[in-house]
Amino acid sequence: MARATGPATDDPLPNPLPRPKGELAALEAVWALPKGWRLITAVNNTVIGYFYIAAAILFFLLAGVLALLMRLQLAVPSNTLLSQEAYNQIFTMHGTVMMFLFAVPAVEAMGMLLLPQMVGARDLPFPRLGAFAFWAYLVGGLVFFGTLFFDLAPSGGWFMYPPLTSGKYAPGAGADFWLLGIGFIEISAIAGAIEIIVGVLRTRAPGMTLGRLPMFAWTMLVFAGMIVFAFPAVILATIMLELERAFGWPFFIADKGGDPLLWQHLFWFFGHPEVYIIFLPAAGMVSMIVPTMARVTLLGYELIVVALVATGFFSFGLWVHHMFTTGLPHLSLSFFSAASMAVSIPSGIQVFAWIGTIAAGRMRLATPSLFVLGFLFIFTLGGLTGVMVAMVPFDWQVHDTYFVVAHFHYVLIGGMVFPLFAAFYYWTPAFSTRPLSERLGRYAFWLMFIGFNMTFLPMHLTGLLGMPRRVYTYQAGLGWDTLNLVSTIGAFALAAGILVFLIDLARNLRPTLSQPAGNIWQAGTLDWLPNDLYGLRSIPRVRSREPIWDQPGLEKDVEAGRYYLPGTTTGRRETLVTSPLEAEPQYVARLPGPGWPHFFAAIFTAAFFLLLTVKLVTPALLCGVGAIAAMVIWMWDSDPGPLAPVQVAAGLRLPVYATGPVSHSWWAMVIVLVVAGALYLSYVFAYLYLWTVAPQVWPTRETFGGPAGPLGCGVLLLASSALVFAAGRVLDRRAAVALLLGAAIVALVLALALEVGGLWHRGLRPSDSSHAALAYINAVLLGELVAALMVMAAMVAAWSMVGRLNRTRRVGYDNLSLLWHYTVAQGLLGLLLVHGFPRVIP
Amino acid sequence: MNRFHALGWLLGPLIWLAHFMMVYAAQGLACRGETPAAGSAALFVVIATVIALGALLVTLVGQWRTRSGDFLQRIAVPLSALSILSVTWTGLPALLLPACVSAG
Repeated sequence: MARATGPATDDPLPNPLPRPKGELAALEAVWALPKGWRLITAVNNTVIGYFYIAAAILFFLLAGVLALLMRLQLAVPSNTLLSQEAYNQIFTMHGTVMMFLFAVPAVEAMGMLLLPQMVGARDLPFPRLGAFAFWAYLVGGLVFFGTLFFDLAPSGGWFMYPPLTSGKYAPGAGADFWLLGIGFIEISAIAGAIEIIVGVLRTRAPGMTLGRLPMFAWTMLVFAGMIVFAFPAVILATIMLELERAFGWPFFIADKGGDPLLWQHLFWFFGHPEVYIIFLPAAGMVSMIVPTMARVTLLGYELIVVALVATGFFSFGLWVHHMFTTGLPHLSLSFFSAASMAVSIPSGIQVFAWIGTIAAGRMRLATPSLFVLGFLFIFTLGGLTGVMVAMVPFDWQVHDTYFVVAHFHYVLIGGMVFPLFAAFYYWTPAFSTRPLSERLGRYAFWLMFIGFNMTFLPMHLTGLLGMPRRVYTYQAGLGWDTLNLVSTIGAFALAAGILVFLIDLARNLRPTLSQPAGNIWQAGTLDWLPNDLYGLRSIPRVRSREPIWDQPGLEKDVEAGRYYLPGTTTGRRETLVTSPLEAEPQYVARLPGPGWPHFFAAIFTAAFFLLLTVKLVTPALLCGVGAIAAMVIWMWDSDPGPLAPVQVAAGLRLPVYATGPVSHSWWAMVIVLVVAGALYLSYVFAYLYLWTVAPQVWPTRETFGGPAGPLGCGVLLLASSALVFAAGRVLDRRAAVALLLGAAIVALVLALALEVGGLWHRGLRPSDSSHAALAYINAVLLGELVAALMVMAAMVAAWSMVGRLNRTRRVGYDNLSLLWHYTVAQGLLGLLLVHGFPRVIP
Repeated sequence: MNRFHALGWLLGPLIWLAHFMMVYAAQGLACRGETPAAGSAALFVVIATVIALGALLVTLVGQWRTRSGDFLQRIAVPLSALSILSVTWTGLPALLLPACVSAG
C-alpha cells in the first residue's frame, strides 16, 4: 500500500506496559454472559453466532430428511410411500427450508460469528439487532416447519408460482404460511445484512484498509449488499400475492389485467442473485482456507475482489434465464443469456485463483482441504452445466427436467455445503477446546463426496431421458428406474456422511468462549488471535493481509493489551469505529448489553405474522402492538449521548459520540433507505410491467378525475418535510420539537388519507383491476413508512420532552429526518406515477 | 478520498447496469401489444450499446490514467474491462436476432 496508514505506523506499540491493575477484570465484567436461562437475553456475537449456526444446522438436517423421503418415494416406479399431496408439500418445504432457513441464515451466522474477530472488532455494531434477527428466524422457522405435521404446508414449489398458488387453486393456509412466514424471515435476513455492512465498513482494526480486508469479509460485504437490493423484490411480490389471496387485489390474475409472469420476474429478480448470495460467502470461506492450507498468500487477491464485485452486479442481469420457456421475445432472452455467460467469468477467475494458490504452495491435505477440493470438483461441474443451460435452445430441452435438478444441486451443494463443511472443520479449533477429528472428518468427506456424486450425476441422464422434476412417481420401463435407484442409494450415502459429521460434533465439539484449541493451522488472519467474549484484548494496527504471518509478536502484544482500546473506557461495552476506506480510528462506539426487549420484539413479531396466517386477527394485532412496544423499550436507550473524549492509546484520544455521516447509526439508516428504495423501484417496475401487459385496464386522462387531490397530497407531503426540517433547527427547545413533529405527522397522515380517499372517491376499488390494485398498493407502501415514522416521531418527541435530545445529542432526530425525507420523496414519485402517468400515456 | 472517488471505482459496472436495464425496458416497451415496433427496438439497442461502450471506454481510459497505489482505483480498471465485455455481449444479438419474435 503506497498510502500512509496514519501517524502511529512508525511508533512503537500504541500502549505501554504494564497495563493498569483491574483493566482486564473490568473488560471481562462488562462483557460477562448472563447466567443460566437468562442466556437467551445475550446479544454477544459469539453466543448469538453459536445459536445461529446450530439453528441453521438443525434446519439443514430437517430439510435433508425431507430429501431422503423424496428419494425413498422415487427409488422404485409406482411407489406408494407418499401421496401426491404429501410429496408436493415435501418438495416445496425441502426447497424453501434449504434456501431460506438453512443457506442464507447459515452464511449470515458464519458472518456473525467470524466477522468481528476477523476485522478486529469487539462485537458487531448492532448486537441487539443481530439477536433479534436470530430469534425471529428461529421461532418463525420452527413454526413454519411445523406446518408440515398438520398438513398445512405450502405445496406450490419453493418459487410459489401463481396461479397455482393463487386463492383459487391453493385455497388452504399453506401458501399463506409461505408468504407471511418467509416474507418475514427475509426481513430478518435484511437486518443481518445491515449489521454486516456497517460492521465490515466501520468497525475494522486500524490500518485494515479495504485492500487488506480478509477475503471472507469482502465476500460478506458483497453478500450483504446483494441482499439489500435483491430481497426487497421478493418481499414486494409476497405482499402482492398475499393481498391478492386475502382481499382479491388482482396483481397476477390475467382476467383483470394482472399477469402471473410478474411474479416470476419479481421472484427471480431476487432468486437468481440469491444463488450468488449463498455462493459468495462460501467462496470467501474457501479463500480463507486455501492460503492457510497451502501456506502461501492468496493468489490474485485484487482480481478476486474484482470477481466478487462483478458477480454482485452481473447476477442482477440473470433473472430471466429462469424464464426462457415463458414465450418472451428471443432478443430479450439473449440479453439474459449474455449476462449468464458474463457472470461465469468472475466465477472462473476465483476458481483459477484457488487452483493457482494451491499450486504455488504445498497443500496440507487435512479435512478442510478435502472439502475444498471436493467443492472445486463439484462446483466446476455445476458451473459447466450452468453455461449449458445459459444457452436458450439447450435450456428449452432440459427445462423442468431432472437435468436442472442435477445442475442446481451441483452448484448449491458443491458451491455452498462443501465449503461450509470445510469451514466447520477449519474454524472449530477457534471456538472449541478440541478440534474435530481428522479421521471422522475423512470418513464424512468421502461418504459425502461419493454419495453426492452418486445421487446427482445420474440425474443429468434422468433429465436428458425426459423425467420431469416434481413428479411424485413414474411408470416403470421409461429408462428411469435404475438411475433413480442409484440416486436414492447415493442420497443415503450422503446422509451417512453427514451423520458421521454429527457424531464428530458430539464427540469433539466443546464450545468455549475463552480457551479454544487455537491456531492449529498456523493461519495468518486476526480470527486466529486469542479470543474471548470481548473479542481481542486490544485491537491491533494491521499492516498486511496476514498480520499474524507478517507482524512478529502480534499475538503476545495483542493479548498483553499493548494495542488500541485495551480495556473499557466508559465502563460499558465498546468497539472502535474506523473510517470506511482506510480504517483510521474515528470514535469509540458504546454497545448495548443483554436485555429482554429485543427478544420479546422478535417473539411478538413472529407471532404477529403467524397468527395472521391462520386468520386469528385480534390476537395477531395484540402481538403486533406488543412487538412495537418492545421495540420502543428496546430503542429508548439507543442514543447514550455525548461524553468527553477517552484515551484508547497513549497519545490517542477519541470522541465517544458521533453524529451525521461519521456515525455508524447514520450508515445503518442510509442502508435502510436503500432497502426501501429497492422495494419501491420493484413496485415501479411492477406498475410499468403490468401496463405493458394490460393497457386496457388503465384509465384515460378523461376518466381519471382532476389533479386537485394529488396536488393537495403533494403539498401536504412537502409541508411535513418542511416541519421536520424546522424541528431540526430548534432541537434545544423541547416543546417546539414535539409540536413541530406532531404537526408534521398530522400533515403526513392527512396526505395519506387524501390519497386513499381520492382513489376511493373516483370509484376505484382495489379488486377491480390490476391498475386499481397497483394504485392502492402504492398507498400501502407509503402507509407502512408513515406508520414507522409515527412511532419514531413519537419517540423523538418524547426524548425531546425529557431532555434526551438537543443540538449535540441528535442521532435519533437525524435518523428520523433521513427516513422522513425519503418517505416524502417516495410519496411524490408515487403521485407522479399513479396520477401523472395515466395522464401522459396516449 | 473524496465522495466522487468513493463511487467512481464502480462506474464500469454501473454503466453496465444502466445499459442492461435500458435495453431490456426499451425492448419490452417496443414489442408490447399487437403492433410491435421491432425496427426501433433493434435500433435503440444498437445505439444504446454504442453509447454505453463509448462511456465505458472513456471511463476505462480515465481509470487507467489515475490508477495509483490506491486499491479501489486499481480494481476499477478490470471491473470496467469486464463491463465492456458484458455490454458487448448484451448488445450484439440485436444485430443477429429479430427483435420481437418469440417462440410461443
